Amino acid sequence: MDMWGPLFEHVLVCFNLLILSYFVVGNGVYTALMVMSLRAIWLHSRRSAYQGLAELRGSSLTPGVTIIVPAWNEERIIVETVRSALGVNYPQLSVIVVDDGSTDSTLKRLATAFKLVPTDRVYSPALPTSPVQSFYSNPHIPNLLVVHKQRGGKPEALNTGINLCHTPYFCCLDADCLLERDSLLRLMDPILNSPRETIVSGGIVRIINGCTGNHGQIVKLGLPRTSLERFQVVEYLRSFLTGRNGWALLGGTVIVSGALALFQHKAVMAVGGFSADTVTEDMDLIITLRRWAADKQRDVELAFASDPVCWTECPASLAMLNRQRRRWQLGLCQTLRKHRGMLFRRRYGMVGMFSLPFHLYVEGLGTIVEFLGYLLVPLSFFGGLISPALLALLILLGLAYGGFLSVGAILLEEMTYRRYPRSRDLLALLAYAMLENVGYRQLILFFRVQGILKFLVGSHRWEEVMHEGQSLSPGAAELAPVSAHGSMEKAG
Amino acid sequence: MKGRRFSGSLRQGEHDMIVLPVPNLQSLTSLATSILATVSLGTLVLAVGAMIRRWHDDRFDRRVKSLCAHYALTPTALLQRKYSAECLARLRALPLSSLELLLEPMLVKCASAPPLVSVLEELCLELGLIDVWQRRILGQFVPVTLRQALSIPDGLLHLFPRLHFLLRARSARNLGLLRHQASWPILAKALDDPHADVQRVALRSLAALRQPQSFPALLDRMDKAVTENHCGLSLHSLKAAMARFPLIQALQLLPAMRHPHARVRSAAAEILREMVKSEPAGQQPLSPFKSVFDRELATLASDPDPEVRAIAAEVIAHLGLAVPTPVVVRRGLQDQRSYGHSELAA
Repeated sequence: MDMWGPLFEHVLVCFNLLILSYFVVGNGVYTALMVMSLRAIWLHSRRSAYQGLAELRGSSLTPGVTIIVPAWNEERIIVETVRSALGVNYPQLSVIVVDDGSTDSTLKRLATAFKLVPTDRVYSPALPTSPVQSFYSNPHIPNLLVVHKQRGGKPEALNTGINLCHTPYFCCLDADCLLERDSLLRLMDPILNSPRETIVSGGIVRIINGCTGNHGQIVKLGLPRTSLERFQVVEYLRSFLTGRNGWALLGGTVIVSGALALFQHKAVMAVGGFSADTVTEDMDLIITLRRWAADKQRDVELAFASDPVCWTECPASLAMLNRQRRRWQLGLCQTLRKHRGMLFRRRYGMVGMFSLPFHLYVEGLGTIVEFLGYLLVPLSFFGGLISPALLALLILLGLAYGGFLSVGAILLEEMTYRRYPRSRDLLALLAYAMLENVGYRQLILFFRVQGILKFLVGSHRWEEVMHEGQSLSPGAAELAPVSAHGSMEKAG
Repeated sequence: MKGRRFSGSLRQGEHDMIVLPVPNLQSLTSLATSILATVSLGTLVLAVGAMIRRWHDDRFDRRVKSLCAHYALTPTALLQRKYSAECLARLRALPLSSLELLLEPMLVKCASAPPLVSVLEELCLELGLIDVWQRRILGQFVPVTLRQALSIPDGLLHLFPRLHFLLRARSARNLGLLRHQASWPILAKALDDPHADVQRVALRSLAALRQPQSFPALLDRMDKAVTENHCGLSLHSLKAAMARFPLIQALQLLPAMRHPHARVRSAAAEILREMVKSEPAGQQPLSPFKSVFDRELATLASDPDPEVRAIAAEVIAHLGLAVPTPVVVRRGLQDQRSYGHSELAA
């Protein structure tokens, strides 16, 4: 016992130092990203005064875009999503809905809403997919095509859409999302105005819960009612306004939300489309494109703009939130393992040398470290290794820093886009930003640990998240109840 | 090297053999305390900043609305030219920043209504705003005091020369929105501005002005965009701008159609195609120079570059030119990429 005691204490001390390093690195990098984002977003919002979207919209030289909507059992919301996609302001727009073998009335609802009739098409898949069973279109809506295929999963559904896409760019849109009218023009703007070749352009995803949507558009903005959803609003703001924007500035983007991203068709074809190797196919594709560009020595750019907005429904229940976060964490681990060859390789630039190692250390391993920290720090305290004052100080510091980053994101939102017009919404957001680290953060951590455990046991199962569809379509509740089916849901 | 004992982590008197290269507990505690204090203060500052920002923006919105109401600056009033000499005198008495505050949003709102634009142009000229914007593009800024800067949104931009590009770009946009023809030489000069944003906006404004004299400058930039890597303007934005010019400018595209670089040739053909497409139906496009374009397009239809051939075929289809059909069909069939049915049918 005499030998094990000091050893245990030594391990605890070392672990406490590891937690400290994780805290310093994670928060240090996120603070730096916040400061950079603050400047970039402020500048971007000022630049939008002369962005020239009207010229883009009016020019027949603006390249065509196809919106690909993969759908599986989305009967509650699919019609609104397609309406939203068709209502986007863009000169040459096509919409392809890929019904991935739905067992509910997704196809029927689409056929009824858009008066679709079966049509003949030649389908020669450049990217392998499971067989396509039928095509549906309406001669009066020539830019809408619905494809019904055998169930093959979201990456395959997206690849089917890519095979059918004839435009130089395509946009992936989750079936539970609404696009803002100018979002595609805003996504296209950095592509067309950059002297460099831009192969991906990503935008921001915001939470629709609490807003009112009608005919595919948001008609009233507001915060959701429940605390769980409000915490997610703050989390999304922080993630997109601070995190994604900051990484894009550093040239280290590895995640562009598949819920709203514009891809260059030929580049995606060159890397073989979306892969089913991971459950976060969007992150996987971005890193694959990075790798491909570096290997081929192509000087390409991956842009991120903070004003193209897509609205999505966040999970309103703990069970669904758990599924979502488990899957995101599982996907992160799978993607990091798949691309481990890029880690610390100079040829992959910022991504290989900094972004991926950071994600591995802070987002991957950091989850375990933080989780164990919640167990071992109290143990250190009870073992007399940490004084009560230091323990209290460290806990307060952790909470305060998290609050600082979240409040920073709210300030960014306020300085730029100010989507929530009511002052009481701002006050509520600030309050939730400060409270986020008490309870909610720990809950999310618990879900993420489950994701890591799933990764360690080798699970690859896609977990569906069921959406209410209330904000997207006020009449959704009147539809026939769906059973165990959910919507294919976006990856963070 | 012997590290310091991590005294706070270990019970006193025990395990003296454990030494760790870390600071002692006291310094760790004081470091954590100072970080906590800084972070808490920072959070408070950010939260208060967000609230002040909201209050400031709301106040600004109210101010603009009241000014607009006071000076009858509504689209209807402008159209009816309801601003009297007295009103104009009162407007003149306003500081420049307030005038911009009032008129810039109006300009953006009314940009697609030509009658309103001409009234606004007249008003801006009268109030000296056009002169200010022209000077700004040339880098001549009116000095602003801190108090003045704080009284308007984005006023601080005036105080930081590194951010002046935002004001230059906005000035270029305003001149384009007003279609102020006399400003074209200044806008053409702005194509060489050190900031790419100003170049881009100046390009769009020149396209809005459609001044024939500015077309060669754009052609020159197109050449540079293809042949030089360090051009702030993208080829697409140049093509889109030039395509907005009237078809008569197409004659100036002829040298670009014979350019040794295939991307310049295809860009020229694309611009021609867009110019032709935007001509009103029933017109005889290129009528005085049809034979010249017949020849050029026939050459482009046999271009070694498939992209150029495809675009040339589209223009030929659109114009119904007397280019020998077999040439187009043969080249079209040779190409890997398929020609549209209408192009081949032509």
